[in-house]
Amino acid sequence: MNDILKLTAIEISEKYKKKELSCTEVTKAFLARTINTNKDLNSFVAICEETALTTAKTVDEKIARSQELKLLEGVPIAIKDNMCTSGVRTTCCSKILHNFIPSYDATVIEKIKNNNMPILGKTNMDEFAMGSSTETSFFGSTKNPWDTKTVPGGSSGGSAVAVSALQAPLALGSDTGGSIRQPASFCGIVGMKPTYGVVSRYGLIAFASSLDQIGPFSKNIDDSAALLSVISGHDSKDSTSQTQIDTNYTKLDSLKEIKIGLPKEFFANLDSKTKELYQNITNKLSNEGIILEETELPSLEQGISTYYIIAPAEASSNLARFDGVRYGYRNEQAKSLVDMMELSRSEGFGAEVKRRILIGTYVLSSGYYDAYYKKAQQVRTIMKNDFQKAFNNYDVLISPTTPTPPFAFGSKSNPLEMYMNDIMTIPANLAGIPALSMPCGTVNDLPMGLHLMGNLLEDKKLFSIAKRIETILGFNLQNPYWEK
Amino acid sequence: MNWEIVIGLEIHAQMSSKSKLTCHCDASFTNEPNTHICPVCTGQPGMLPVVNKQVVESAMMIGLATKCQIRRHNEFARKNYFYPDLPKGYQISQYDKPICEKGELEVEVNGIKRTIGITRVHMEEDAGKLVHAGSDNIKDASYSLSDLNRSSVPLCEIVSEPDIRSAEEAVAYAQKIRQIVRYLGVCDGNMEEGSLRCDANISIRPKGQEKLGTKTEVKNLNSFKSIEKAINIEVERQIDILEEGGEIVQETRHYNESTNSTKSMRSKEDAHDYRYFPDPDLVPILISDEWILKVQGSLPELPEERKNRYINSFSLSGYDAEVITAEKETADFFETTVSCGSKPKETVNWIMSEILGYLNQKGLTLSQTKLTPKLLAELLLLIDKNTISGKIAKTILPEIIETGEKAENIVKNKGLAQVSDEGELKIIIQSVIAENAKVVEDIKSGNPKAMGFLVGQVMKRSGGKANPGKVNELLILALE
Amino acid sequence: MTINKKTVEHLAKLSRLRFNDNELLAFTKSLDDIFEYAKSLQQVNTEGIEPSAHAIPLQNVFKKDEIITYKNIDKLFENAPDVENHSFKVPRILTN
Repeated sequence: MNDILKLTAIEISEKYKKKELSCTEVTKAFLARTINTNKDLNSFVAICEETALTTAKTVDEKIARSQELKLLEGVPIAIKDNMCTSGVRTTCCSKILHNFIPSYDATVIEKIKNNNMPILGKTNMDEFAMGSSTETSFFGSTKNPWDTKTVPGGSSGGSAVAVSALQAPLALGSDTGGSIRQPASFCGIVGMKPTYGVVSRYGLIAFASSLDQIGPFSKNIDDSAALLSVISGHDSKDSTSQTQIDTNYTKLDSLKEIKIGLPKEFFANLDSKTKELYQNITNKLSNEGIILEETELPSLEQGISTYYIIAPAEASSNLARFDGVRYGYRNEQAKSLVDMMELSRSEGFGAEVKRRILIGTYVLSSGYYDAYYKKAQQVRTIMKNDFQKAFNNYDVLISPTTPTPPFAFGSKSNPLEMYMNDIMTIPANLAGIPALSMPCGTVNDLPMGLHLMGNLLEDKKLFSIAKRIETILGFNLQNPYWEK
Repeated sequence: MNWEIVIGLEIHAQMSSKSKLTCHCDASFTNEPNTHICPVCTGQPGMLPVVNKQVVESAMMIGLATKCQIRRHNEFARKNYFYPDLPKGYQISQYDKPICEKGELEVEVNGIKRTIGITRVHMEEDAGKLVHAGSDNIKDASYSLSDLNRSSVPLCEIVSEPDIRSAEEAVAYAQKIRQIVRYLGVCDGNMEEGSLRCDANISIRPKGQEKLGTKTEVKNLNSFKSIEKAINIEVERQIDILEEGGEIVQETRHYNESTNSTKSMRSKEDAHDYRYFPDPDLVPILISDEWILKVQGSLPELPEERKNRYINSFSLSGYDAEVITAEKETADFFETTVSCGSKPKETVNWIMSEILGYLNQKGLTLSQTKLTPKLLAELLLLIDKNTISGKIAKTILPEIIETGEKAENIVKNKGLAQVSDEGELKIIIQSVIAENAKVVEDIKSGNPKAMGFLVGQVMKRSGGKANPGKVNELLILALE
Repeated sequence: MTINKKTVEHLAKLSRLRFNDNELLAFTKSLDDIFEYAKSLQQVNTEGIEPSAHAIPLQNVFKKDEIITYKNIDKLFENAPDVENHSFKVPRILTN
């Protein structure tokens, strides 16, 4: 296997500066790996070989002229297929958008292009980001490189696998209830969801607008912080974009004293092996002088219920635009407008998407709004308050990212059981706070993630603490697939 | 039975901002389909709205002008329904937190003043337009075409309380709203192009009963005339039903101007539940005292204030002040004319009868002609100085309007200056007396009305240039 | 039971979806499971708590009132399933 593939994004950047590697060489290596392994893993739904190499050529010209390179300039990246890429099919892995080619770039894509990062392709995902296993994709499921019989997590499964299987040094995902962090955990890599509004949502095809946030996948914390520096920033095209952001996350602070809270709600129902893994981790951390304390955030127990009311409510409205009128799939046989809309939507959306539309429609409908939607919004407020109290005492809160290691395909046929997978990741989306998952060990030879949540807009502090933990734990990223 | 009519009006006023409510597309009217569109207002995947600040301030102006309370914390909500002219599958609107609430407006019908409550003023985006192919009737159309030029054009919906009691009052209220938004400069009030649209909620109840009857919502009222006719015909329909022992069905009805009837728009495919909820893509609007004061300070003088000022400083009658302030453009014209030296009362008469009469006939507005306040003032001053008669002035007015030429020049070029010279007039008078011996006889036998005939003859012979006062005076002398 | 078949049929109509009997049954079952689970929310005391529609407190975000013409209108039509006269064509709206 080509050693280039094992490099981190920052290592690649340094080799460009020293002219030890050309961008074309690096891009070709990742493209070759992607093309060779995609049949097996199904992590990419589109590969953009030509444009990636054109970008690489531009970078190489700059390197040849010894021009200063921007942050991560020339480092290839994979993009989740719910971010609009001008001229490149963007489908949300749904039949209803199977033929959609946007004429505009998402703001994050503009930023990626502005830094000349070659886009390797678009990655597989749960349809409209609704799922925790990448099994609901119209283009078939993605396999976990640690064990191809298990799911890679979701919804950003394709992006997580791309980094984990060395198809890309970096990838972008989106996280509405854990869709970056859970697959990062399942694939043994770093996945980060920034504070809501730090990264523009303009051009991200919405699932649940008040929860969606784009974030980075990477091999380590430094790469994650660098990529967030590239994609973050205020955007006047997104009304919910943060106005005051320090977009430089690369120079991490070294904190003198770190105080970590362990929400007991998240350690309650773990099996013995998992419990043992996290016990070892907390021991290691406290041996290094980090203060760890058990704490309580009672509202966390309402996370799933709250989330599975708010997210579908917003989704039911966000997905109303897919009506067969202006773009996407249309049933051509329909003789009347209502037939056309109903058949196009019924044939264009998969079962999980339909289920969420139904849930969302129900909780917003007259007679149920107060009991469900409004109630959930109130609990959301309580949860935010709980977090604010917790962050008065702790720098970050940690827990496992998921209750279990990656599960087998088809093993969670009951939707509610699938939803339970997001129990630890959902609260960060509801409260808008930054959170990340970093690899921390294995259970039954499958990776587990350590989940860190930080206070609003303290993304940099979150990275700084994660970096410290990374040094202490020293996780070996290598998975069996690297040898293929 | 003696029925009482209960009406509430919902008026949609298109805001005259340059760009749309949530994107940067041109908000102006155009007939070329889908030329004022972009990814945002066509609801493309991933696109996000950002609110036009101008529209927020326009809505505040309407609220302040109608004595509304401005809601310090207001927000946009989504109104969810499917239709091919609604690209996102929801309309961005305001629901339980509108920008303005609890206002009122005084209207006068037949000398009786009544106060109509205003429930709310809220901002929303317009939908697109459907063209039904093969027929102008949606029912017979074989297919339809969606034009999204109007999609996301900003509207303010002004909702009245059910305080209106007659069709005339409804018209007076709607006219007043139109007058206010035009004075504020926030809406051009053009009903033909749909810049101002009106729906009426109509019910009836036996006089003296407190409980409201079942209402119907009548749509497609595109002119003041159709507001009046539609309400009358709908009230008649409801009375007929109730007097025959029937029941009113709460529904939306469409007014058809050509048949002067309303028709149910019910369709069995409709399941109505708009599922309003706060739009997560847009953030709340918080309005500070400072902001309100700033907007308050920018409000122009409103029709009511202006009317009172004209009564006080120009000594106009209530009626004259009312008619001259009906349209801001006319009132502005009047005021500038007076400032050029003409007498207020005469100026009102000239504008209201001669000038507006001429413009109506030609289908023009003041600004489309070459007439300026200064030109009008000069013309009126010529009458004042007895240089020309009012009659001559009327004959040269069209020329001034069309060419922008000064009255003085026209009078000079055409030799139209008034003749007051006694010698010249006496010659004409003598010949008129000689030719009308019978009339002279009449006058002498005590019929003073015949006098007018002789004056007319003298005027005619002078080519209208004779000074009528002088003619009268000299005639009396000649007949003694 | 919180959700029955009739409710799901109504929701389908509101959201422009159409189901066969098997689908109806399956969705009724899964929605019922989910809302049974979500009942726990009702135990939370939310008296006097303001609902949060947003993750973070932002306010008064506006754009300037200026016209910027979109240059790629033709591209928008390239994605359209059916176009006539530079408009989006849809089947007949009312059926007799």
